[in-house]
Amino acid sequence: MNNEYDYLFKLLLIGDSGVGKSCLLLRFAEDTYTQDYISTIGVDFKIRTIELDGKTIKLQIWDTAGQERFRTITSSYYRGAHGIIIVYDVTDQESFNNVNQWLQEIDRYATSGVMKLLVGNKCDLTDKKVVDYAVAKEYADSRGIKFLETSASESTNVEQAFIVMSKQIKAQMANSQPANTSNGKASVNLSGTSVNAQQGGCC
Amino acid sequence: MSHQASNGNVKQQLNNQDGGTTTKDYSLIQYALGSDDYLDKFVPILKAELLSKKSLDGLIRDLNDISKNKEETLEGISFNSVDDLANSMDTISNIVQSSSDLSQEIMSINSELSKTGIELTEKKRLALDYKRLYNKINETEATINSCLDMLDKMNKVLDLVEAKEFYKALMNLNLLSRSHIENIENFEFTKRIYNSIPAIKNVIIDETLNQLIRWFNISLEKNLTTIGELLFENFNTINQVWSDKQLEDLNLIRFKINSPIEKTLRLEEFKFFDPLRNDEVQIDLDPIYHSILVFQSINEFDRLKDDFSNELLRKRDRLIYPIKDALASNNLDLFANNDSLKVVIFSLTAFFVADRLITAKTEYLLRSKKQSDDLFESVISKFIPILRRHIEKNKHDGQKLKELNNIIGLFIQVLENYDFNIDPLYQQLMYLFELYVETSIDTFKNDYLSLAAEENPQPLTVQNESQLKTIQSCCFYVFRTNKVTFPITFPFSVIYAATCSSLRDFIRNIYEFLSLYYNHKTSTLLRIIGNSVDQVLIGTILKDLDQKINSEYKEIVAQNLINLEFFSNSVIEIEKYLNFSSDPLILKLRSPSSLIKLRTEAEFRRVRTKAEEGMFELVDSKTGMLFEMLEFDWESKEVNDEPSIGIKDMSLFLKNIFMLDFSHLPYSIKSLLLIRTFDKLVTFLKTSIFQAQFITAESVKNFEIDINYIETIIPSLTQESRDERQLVNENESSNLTLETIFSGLKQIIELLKEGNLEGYKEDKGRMRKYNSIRPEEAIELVQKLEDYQNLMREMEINEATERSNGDGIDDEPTRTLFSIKRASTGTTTYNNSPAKISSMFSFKKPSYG
Repeated sequence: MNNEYDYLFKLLLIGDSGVGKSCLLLRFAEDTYTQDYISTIGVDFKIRTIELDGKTIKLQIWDTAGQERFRTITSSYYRGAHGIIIVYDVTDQESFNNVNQWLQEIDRYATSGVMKLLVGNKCDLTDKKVVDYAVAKEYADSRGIKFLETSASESTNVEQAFIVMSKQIKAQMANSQPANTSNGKASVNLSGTSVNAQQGGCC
Repeated sequence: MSHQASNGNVKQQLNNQDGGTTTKDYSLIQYALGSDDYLDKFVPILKAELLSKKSLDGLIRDLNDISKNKEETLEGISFNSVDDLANSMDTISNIVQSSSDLSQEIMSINSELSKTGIELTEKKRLALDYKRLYNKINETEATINSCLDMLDKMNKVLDLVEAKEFYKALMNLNLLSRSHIENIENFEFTKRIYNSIPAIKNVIIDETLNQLIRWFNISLEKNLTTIGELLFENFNTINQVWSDKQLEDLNLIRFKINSPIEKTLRLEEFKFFDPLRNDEVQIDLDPIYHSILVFQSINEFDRLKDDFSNELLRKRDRLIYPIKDALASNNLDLFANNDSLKVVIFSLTAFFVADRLITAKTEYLLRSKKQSDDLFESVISKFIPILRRHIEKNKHDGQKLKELNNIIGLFIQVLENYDFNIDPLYQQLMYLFELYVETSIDTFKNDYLSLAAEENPQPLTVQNESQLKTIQSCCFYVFRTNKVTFPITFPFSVIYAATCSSLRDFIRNIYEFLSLYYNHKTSTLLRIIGNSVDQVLIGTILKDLDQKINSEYKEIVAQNLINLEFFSNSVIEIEKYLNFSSDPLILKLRSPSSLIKLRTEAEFRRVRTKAEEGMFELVDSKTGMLFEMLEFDWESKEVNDEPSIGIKDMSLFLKNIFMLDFSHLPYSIKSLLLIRTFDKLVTFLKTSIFQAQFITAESVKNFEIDINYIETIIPSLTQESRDERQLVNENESSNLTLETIFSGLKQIIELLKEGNLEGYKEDKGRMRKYNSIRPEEAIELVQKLEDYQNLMREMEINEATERSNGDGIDDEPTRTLFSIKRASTGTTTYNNSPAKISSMFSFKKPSYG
């Protein structure tokens, strides 16, 4: 395996168009922000390596287009993802209402057991906020999904969201393969399995 | 006979009388007495007697003598002739009686005569007195008439002075001074009048000047604003009429206001418009003419010229007092707004034009053209710093600059019409234009940035014919669209079309700004226009595109590279539009000798090259990251059913970016990107193979599945959404390159599948099947397979030995299972030295192309 990292996680950002998926990714991967609205065409991805519990985790984060016309393309990327972050816009009720549909997309295309995280972005726009934290939290809890409110523009909870997701994946991986270490390192391959999981199944 | 004798006696007697009547008189008396009508005849004698002696005493005495004589005669006769006497006694008695009566009568007459003579004398004396009086009266009358005449003349002078008819007053005063006044010259009032003539003359001169000053104050100065406004209105109409005429006849389009052609064709009502005498203003120049006549008549015309000039300077100073004050205090910010500037410009215009008109109408007697020019220049030189400051103050407000353009433009046109030197003012107009251009550039930039901020970088789609026509009409890039079914998607995004529209507005606004008042320095104006378009294209559009093509977002990079291509291709069209458009607005300023040459094209080319490089870097970066995610299990002992997820993700991603993001890229770029990307991929995959320590036959099969999968996406990548920009030949050539790009990898797979170098060693087979594999590579590859086999055998032996020795399992991993060593440069590194390779191969070294 590549000795530059201990884990390689494939993450996916999904959600309605305009909720701020690309901005979240830009903030997380490059710590920058743009006011410009850029509609993602198809998919894009960025890579960032983080340290977690003494382990180096390389995150390959796929940013998908929210527009319906790209749905066929984006659905192809669900497969093999270790974690999927469902993003909605706290100022857009419709985007929250559609979270359920996105969860159905996950069920349809992703590997079963994929880790999920619900993120309510644009939480800095308090005066425009229409989706209450409690409502979203209750919704996430009811589905066993972790929930965070973020602001890409103010860099609130962005780092946290990806770390939470990474922790979940790592924890799940640890639970499913307690002895998957070799040479003190845990490895996964791009099919969403660890080195040992490839032999014993994962996620 | 007797009677004669008696008469002779009487005569004698009379002669004997002392101092008595003369013989002649005596005869007369005799005769008178002897006459029947002696009384009548006696009257003259009486008169004569009265006249000569003023007394009838003598005559009476004579008459008594005669009577006595006669009596004596009669007595003699009586004695001689008693009878007769007796007879005659009665007669005599009667005669005596009669004589007595007569004497009485004569006495009475005498008395009467005496009385009448006195009266006559008195009358005569009176008559003489009267005559003297009459003469005196006549003399007095003549004197009085002379006095009246003088007074009349004097009054007339005074009346004329009062009536402001100074020249006539002066003429009358001259007449008065030349009047013949000998008969009255000693009169006091005559002396006074005469003595007052110089004073009156001075009064007339003073009043003439006062009248001139009043004229300046009341007629001219108070009407300056109105006159200026009228001049502006007149030229405003001239501009409108001329513009209409130009549109009717495009041959006139290049001729400006005040050009000889325009002046020739100018309607007479405008051509001969008199700003001093019209429906609104009636300014009589008579006071000036009067002044001239007055001062010419007193031979002091130079004084008038000086006084007139001084008065004009005083008026100038009053007019520009705020300007001078502002200059003195160095506070040039004089005008609160354009309206206050306009009022001052109205006054200045009127002042200059009035001076010019007065100068001309007085046939340059009063002022020379040079004096008029000097006055103009003295004012304008002071006014310009203030005007410039005002222009500068409004430099960020396009609307106010337009207003200023109209004000200053008309100001210049009016002055030019009256042959003033407009150069210094025209420089300010040019400065104004430059500021307007700067503001327009800023406005364009703001509009553009707001468009850019809102833009979603995606190809523009039009839904109907109307939208299509709108896009076609505003875009500079000429494209044909044969497709009639909607929607139609253009390669460029909405910002290209919107910017083209803004750019057309920008250019149009600039030409509109120049359309009326910019008659000179056309080449400079065209240069400024060219620079402004360059600035907009380079400083705003290209700058933004340059920034965007460095974006982290592939969507932005790709779309803006496409937009850049369209903008770049539009430059030549913009240049054509500026130089050859048939738009009358642009035609007006066209100069056959000065064509606008944009320098933008080279800049666009430079940025395009940079953008292409940026695009390559972006794709390189993305593919590099994708490759980092790819891990090939070269020691796998299982054959997969399908390509790995990593290969699928990468392939899908490449397919997406080329089919979606880069679908409208210029084909030259897109094909280059494709080849470059796949070339890198091939290099990466080759490196992956060569970096593997061991290779299993199963992993080779898995690798083949992956490569075959990647190959399947190539046809879809090379399918073009064609537009007129793309060249079929290029396309086909590129496809050919891409189809063969994996041939080297496939040869490696074949060699690894073969598992030995036997086939490679055969020249024929090597040239046909492995022509891209170098001998040292072939050896290395096959060695990896063999090494794995050897390793397996060693492991089996070790395991057997360990089992026989009863040792536990080694905790240390013997090999990393999936590690793929990649050189940082992305190229394969070889551990084999040439010496080692040559020692391993005994066959002939093949020749490589």
